[in-house]
Amino acid sequence: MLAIDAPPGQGKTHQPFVHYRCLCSSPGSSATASTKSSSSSIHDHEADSTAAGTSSAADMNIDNTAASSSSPAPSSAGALIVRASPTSHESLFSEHHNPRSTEEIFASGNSSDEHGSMSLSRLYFCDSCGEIRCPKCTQDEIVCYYCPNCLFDVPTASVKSEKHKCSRNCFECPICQNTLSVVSDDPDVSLYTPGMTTAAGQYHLSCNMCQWNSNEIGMTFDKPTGLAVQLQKAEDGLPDVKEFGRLKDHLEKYFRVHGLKQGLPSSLLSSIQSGTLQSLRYVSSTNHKAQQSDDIAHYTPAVQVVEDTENLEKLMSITSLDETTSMKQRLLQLQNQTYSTQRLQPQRIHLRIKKSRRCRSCRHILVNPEQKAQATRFKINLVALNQLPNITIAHIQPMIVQTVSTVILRFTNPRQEEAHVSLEAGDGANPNHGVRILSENFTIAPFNEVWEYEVGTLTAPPGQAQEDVYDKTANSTSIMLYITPVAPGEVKIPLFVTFSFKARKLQTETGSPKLPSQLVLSGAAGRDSMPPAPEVEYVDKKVSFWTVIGFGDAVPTLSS
Amino acid sequence: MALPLSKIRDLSFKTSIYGIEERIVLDIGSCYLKCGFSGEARPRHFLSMFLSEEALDDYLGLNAISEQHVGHECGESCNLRSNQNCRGINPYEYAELYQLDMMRKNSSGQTEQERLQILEERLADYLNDVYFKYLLTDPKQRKVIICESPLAPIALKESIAKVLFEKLQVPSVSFTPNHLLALLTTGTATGLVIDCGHLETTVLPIYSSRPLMPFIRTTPRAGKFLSTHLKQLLKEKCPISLVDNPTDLRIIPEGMLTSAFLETIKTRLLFASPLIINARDNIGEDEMNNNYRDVSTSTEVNVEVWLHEEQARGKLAIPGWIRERASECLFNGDEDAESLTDVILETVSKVPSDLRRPMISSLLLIGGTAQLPNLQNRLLQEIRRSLQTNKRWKALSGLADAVRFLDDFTPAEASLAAAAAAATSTSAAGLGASSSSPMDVDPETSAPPRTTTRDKDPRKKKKDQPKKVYQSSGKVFMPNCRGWIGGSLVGSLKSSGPELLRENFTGTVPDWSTFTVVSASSGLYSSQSTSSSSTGLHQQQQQPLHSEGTLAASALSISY
Ligand SMILES: [Zn+2]
Ligand SMILES: [Zn+2]
Ligand SMILES: [Zn+2]
Ligand SMILES: [Zn+2]
Repeated sequence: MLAIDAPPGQGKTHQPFVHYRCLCSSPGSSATASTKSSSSSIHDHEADSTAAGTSSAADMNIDNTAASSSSPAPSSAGALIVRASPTSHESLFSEHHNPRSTEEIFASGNSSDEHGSMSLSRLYFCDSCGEIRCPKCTQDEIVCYYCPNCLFDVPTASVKSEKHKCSRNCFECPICQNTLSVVSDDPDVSLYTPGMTTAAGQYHLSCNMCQWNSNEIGMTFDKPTGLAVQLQKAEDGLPDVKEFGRLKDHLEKYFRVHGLKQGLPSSLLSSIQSGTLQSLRYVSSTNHKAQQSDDIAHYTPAVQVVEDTENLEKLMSITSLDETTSMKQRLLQLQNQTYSTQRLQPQRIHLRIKKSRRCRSCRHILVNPEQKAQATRFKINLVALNQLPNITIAHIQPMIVQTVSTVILRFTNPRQEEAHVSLEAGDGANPNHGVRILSENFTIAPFNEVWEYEVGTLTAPPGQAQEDVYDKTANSTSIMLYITPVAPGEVKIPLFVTFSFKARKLQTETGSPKLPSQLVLSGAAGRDSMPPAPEVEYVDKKVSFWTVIGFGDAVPTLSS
Repeated sequence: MALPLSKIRDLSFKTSIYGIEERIVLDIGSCYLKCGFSGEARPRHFLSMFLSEEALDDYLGLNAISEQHVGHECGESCNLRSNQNCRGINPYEYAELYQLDMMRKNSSGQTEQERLQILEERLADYLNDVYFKYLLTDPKQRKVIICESPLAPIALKESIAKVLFEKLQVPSVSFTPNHLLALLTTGTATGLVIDCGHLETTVLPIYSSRPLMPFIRTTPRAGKFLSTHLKQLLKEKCPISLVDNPTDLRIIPEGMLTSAFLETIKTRLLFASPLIINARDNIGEDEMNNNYRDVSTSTEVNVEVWLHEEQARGKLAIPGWIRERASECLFNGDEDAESLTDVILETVSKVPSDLRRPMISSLLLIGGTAQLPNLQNRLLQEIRRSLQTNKRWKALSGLADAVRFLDDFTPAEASLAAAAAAATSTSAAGLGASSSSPMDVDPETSAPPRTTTRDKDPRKKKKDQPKKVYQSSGKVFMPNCRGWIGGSLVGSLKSSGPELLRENFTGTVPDWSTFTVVSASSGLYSSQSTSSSSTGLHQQQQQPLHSEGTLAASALSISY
C-alpha cells in the first residue's frame, strides 16, 4: 500500500528542471479556472500590446500608426489611457503579480500535470499574440505528403487512392517492420532495363534485419519495378473487398425501399414516435412473412470464406511465443489478422506528412516547413527556443531545509537584439520557499553567430556600465539566486520573467507579403498590414511569462 | 468504391460542401481504436492503447531496462525514459481508455473529474495521431461516424465529441450503434448480436434493423474478465525458472503481470477448448483444474522474461491446459456475472415469443474477445448443450436445433464438416485420455458437431421453410472489425445516426432521454432511463400503427 501521508519526495528523487508555462493550460481541471486563466491571458495580451504600442510611439517618435492600429476599438483605447498613466511597465507587472494566479500557476507546475508547464524546446512563441503557445493551443495542418523511405513527394490527388502508402518500391517487413529491399535470384542482374528478358519470378523482397524473404510465402516478381501496384491490386481483390461491394449494393436497395434516406431531420420525428415499445408490438403481431419481405433474407453474398481450422490445430501444438504473430504484426494485416507467421505479407510503407502549425487564438502560422520532402528548412519557425531567453541551471547547491543554497541561473538570448530581463519570484506558492534574486534586472547581449566559435567572458563594451550580475558570456548572462527551502521535498519556485528588446524590422524582409505579422513584433500592430517603412524601423517588444523552476529535493536539516 | 455520378446527384439534397467526401469512421474501444474511411472494406488502422511493442520487449525480450515504462507510445509528449511522467509514477497504467463506471473513484483515488481529464487528454492525443499520423487527412474536411457501444458512459461520448469538435474541428459527428452496424455486414437486419469486448459482453436483439434496447443484456464476462482470470492462473500455476539455474523457481512478480503482458499471452497463446467437460456439482476448482490438465492435449509454451529483481533471465512455462482452459471462465457463470451462454439465452427468453426462433438462428458474435480461436464453435456447443440439459432453459429447449451463427454455413456445407473434423480429432483424443478420469464427460455435447448436425439436419428442414439454405459469406470479416465495417458501409451510403453539427455543439452530446420529443426512444437508447420509456409508451399508444415503410424508415435513426 502506498503511504499516503509520507512526506512528498520520498521514494523518488526529483531532478532540477526549468519549465515554461503556457497560459492556455488551466491549473487543476476545473472549467472555471480554465476560463479565468484564459480570460486573464487575453487581458495580459491587451496590456502587453498597449504597452508595446505606447512605448514604441514614444521612443521612436514616429507618427502614431503603431499605437492607433493597436487599439481597434474605442473601449480599448480608453484602457490604453488608463494603463499608460503609471509607467506602463509597472502596471503590466502588477497585473501578473497577483497571489491567486501565482498559486494557480505554481499548482500547474507540479509534475503530475505534464501539460501545465513544459520545457522550452516543446513550446512555440506566437509573435502576433506575444504569448507562449504549447502543442495544445496550436493546431496542425497538413502541408504535403511524402514517403519516409524514398523521400518522394506524393501529390495530394493520388494519396487517397493509394491508401496513404508509397506506390514506389518501398515495403516493410511483415515480421520486424524494417524496410525491405528488392533482390534478384540472379546475382548478375544488378541493373534492370525495361524490355530486358528475365526469368519469371526471379525477384523477391528481402529483409536485411531479420532475414525474412518473400520466397517464404511464395511471393516473387517478374520485374523489379511496379511491385507496389501488384501488391495493392492483390489487396483490393481480396474477398472482403468483394463482399463489401456486394453489401453496399444490397443495402443501398434496402435503404431506398425502406425510405431510410428520406432525409434524417424530417423522418426523425416519426421514426422516434414509432419507436421502442410500439415497434415491439408491431414486431410481435407480425408473422414471419413480414420479416421475409423486409429482411435481407434474399441477400446473396459475393464470397464464402471458410474458417481456418488449421489455425486451431497449429495453435494447440506450438511451443514458443514466436510461432504466433504478435498483435502488432496482426494489426498491420487487417484483412485476416492471421495467427500464422507464414501468412504475413509485406506492406507498402505508410506515408508521412509535413505539418504546419497555427496559433489557435490568432490563426497565424507558427511553423511552416518547406513543401518539399527533402527540404529541411522552415519558411516560418517560431519555436520558443529561437525567441525567448533560454534559462538553464548552471550551478546548484544541494537543497537543505532552512539553509541558504546558491543557484546560478543562466539566461541565453537567442535573438539578434540585446535583451533586457526583469525577474520576480512568485510568492503565492505553497510551500513558500525563501527566494532572493541577486540581480532582478539585467541585460543579455545579442546572439551573434561568430560567438558560437568563441569561448570566454565578454567584457562590457566601452561606455557601458558593468552590470551587477554573476557572469556575462557571449549572449548569455548568469545571475545568482539564494534559495532557502522551508520544507523537505521537492523545491520548486514560480518565477515571472519579463523580457524586452528592440526588434529591428527590415523592409527587405524575405517573408511573403501575406505574412507581415509574422515578422512584425508588436502583437497588435500585426493586425493591420503596415505600409513598408522607408528606413530600418525598430519596434519595442515586451514579453512576460511564468516559469517554474525545480531545484530537486530538499533534505531535512540534521537538527530537525 | 466511389459512387457512380448519377447516384451522387441523387443524394445531393443532403450534401454540404463535404457531401461527396468519404467520412471518417471511428470505433473507439477501451483498448483498441479502429479508424479509416467510409467506403473501404477494412479499417486503415487498428491501434492499440497498450504499451508500445518496444516497452513490451522489456518483459518479453531481454532488454534489461530497470524502469518500468508505463505509458502509451509516448512519442512527442515524453520521448525520454527518464521523463518523470513516464517513470511508473503515472497514476494510470495504460490499460483501458475508460471504465464503465466513470463516476466511481478508482483504486488510485482519482476523482471523477480527474479521470475525465485524463480521458480527454488521452483521447486528444490518440485522435490527433489518428488524423495526422495515420489517416493523414484534414479533420476539418470530413464528417465523422462513431461506432458506439450502446452502454458506453455518456462521459465518453461527450469527451469524444469535445475533442473532435474543439480540438480537431470536425464538421459533424454521428453516433451510430455498433451492434446494428455489425449486423448489417451480414446482409441481414434481424439477429442477436453478441459483442464480446473488453469490459463487458452486451447482447442486443435487433429486429428489422431496430435495436430492441429494452432487451439488452450484459455480463462482465469478457476480455478483461479473462485477463484477470489468466493472471490468477499464471500467478498460481506458472512459476518462473531461471535460465541459468532451471531448478530455481520464482513466483511471477506482480509488476510483470501488466495488462499489456496479459494481452500478449491472451492474444498469442490462448484459445477455447473444443471439448466440453461436464463438472459434477460442487466440484472444487483445483479438482476441475486437474481434470483440465488430464485431458489437455495442447503443448506447453515457454516465454522468456526478464526478472528485474534477480537481474536474470527467466522462463515462464505456460502449460497447455491453461492455454485451452483459461477461457472456461467465459462459460462458467454465477449470480454476479452470468456466463456468455446464459446471458444469450436470457435475452432470447425475454424477447417476444415469436422472435425467439429468428433470434437464436441469427446469432452474430463480434468484438475483440471473439477473436479468440474456436470461441464461437465452443459457444455454439455450449448453447446447444444448455438448451438440452439446463433446467433453467427448459422453456427454450425446442430451439436447440435452430441455434445458428450468421457467419456459419449451412450444416450441409463442407466447411462445417471440416470444422467438425478439427474438433473430432481433439475431442476423440480428449475422450481417450479421460476414460479413467473422475469426471463425467457428456456424450451428447462433447460429441463432434458432425454427428450432431447430421441428426438435426433433417428435422430442421421439415420444420423451417423447406428450401432454407443459409446464404452466408462466412468468416469474410473479422469479428473485431465488423462494427467498423458496418460504419463504413453505412457511411458510404450517406446514412448514419443523426448528425451533431459543430456549430450546434455546446459541450454536451444530447443525452437522448432529456429531449422531450425523443423521450419515446430513450428507453430504447439507454437501458438506464426507464422512467422516460414509460412516457414513451404513453405517447406511442396514441400513435396509429405506422405503415411498414415508415417503421423501416426508422431503422438507423430509431435508436435516437
Ligand atoms: Zn497567436
Ligand atoms: Zn498552450
Ligand atoms: Zn517510398
Ligand atoms: Zn524483417
